Amino acid sequence: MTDSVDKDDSVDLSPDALARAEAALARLSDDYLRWVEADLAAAQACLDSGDLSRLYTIVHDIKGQAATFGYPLVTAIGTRLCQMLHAPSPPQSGIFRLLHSMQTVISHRLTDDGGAQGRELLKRLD
Amino acid sequence: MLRLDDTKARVLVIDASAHMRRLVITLMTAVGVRFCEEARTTIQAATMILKNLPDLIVIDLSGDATEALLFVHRLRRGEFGDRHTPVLGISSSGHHAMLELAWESGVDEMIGKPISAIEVIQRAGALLAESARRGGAARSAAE
Repeated sequence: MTDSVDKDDSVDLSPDALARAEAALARLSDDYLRWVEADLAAAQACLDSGDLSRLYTIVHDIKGQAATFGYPLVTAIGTRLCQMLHAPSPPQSGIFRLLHSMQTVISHRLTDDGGAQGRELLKRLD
Repeated sequence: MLRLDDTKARVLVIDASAHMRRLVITLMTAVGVRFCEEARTTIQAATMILKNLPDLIVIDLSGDATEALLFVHRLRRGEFGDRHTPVLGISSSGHHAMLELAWESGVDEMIGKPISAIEVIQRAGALLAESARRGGAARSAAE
């Protein structure tokens, strides 16, 4: 599908425009931590009340955004959690473990691969 | 060649997630797109399109992809708006079947999550250029 646009019609993306976009994204990254913390709290409330459908929606959103803002570990764990929630009878303990891991990544600000702490976290989930 | 810095194009962002809408609109605004609208659902979007024809639609296909793809299908059938309006889809799935479905529904370009600022701007810009070539920019300028 990417070949459908003629390269001659490519947009002139000046370095200034790109720099502004990157700067805007960086500013949003500051807000992102507030968003995701609120979303994770909402996800926990859904788990507590047994609303797994709503929990899936929230986790799905979180995993879709996290890597964009530098938290691919959250995306990776969120993907596992979404898969688990697709199962007919997802185990409560497994859901809790994965959700708690996502919270840990954010609370410890484990950006990118999270370093040694991130690797250890993923290892414990295997 | 279209300079996004100068564009008067109209962009409609459809995403159930307020965060993702804000992200895409922030990127569009940062490169000079002054007219951005947002819709949480495709039903809202269809109503908005009837009021203001967008030059580009950015739609999330990660949630209820069926609903989103049906929306694009109906747009292409001319049930509302301009059936030639370019559509940029954002999906968390890069699966071939998903891409095939999107293409068959009429999505012009796809971006996979995680999205990057540069990729969104480049794909959106290319589609806006295409829209401008067809006269969309002239319509926006007239408004």
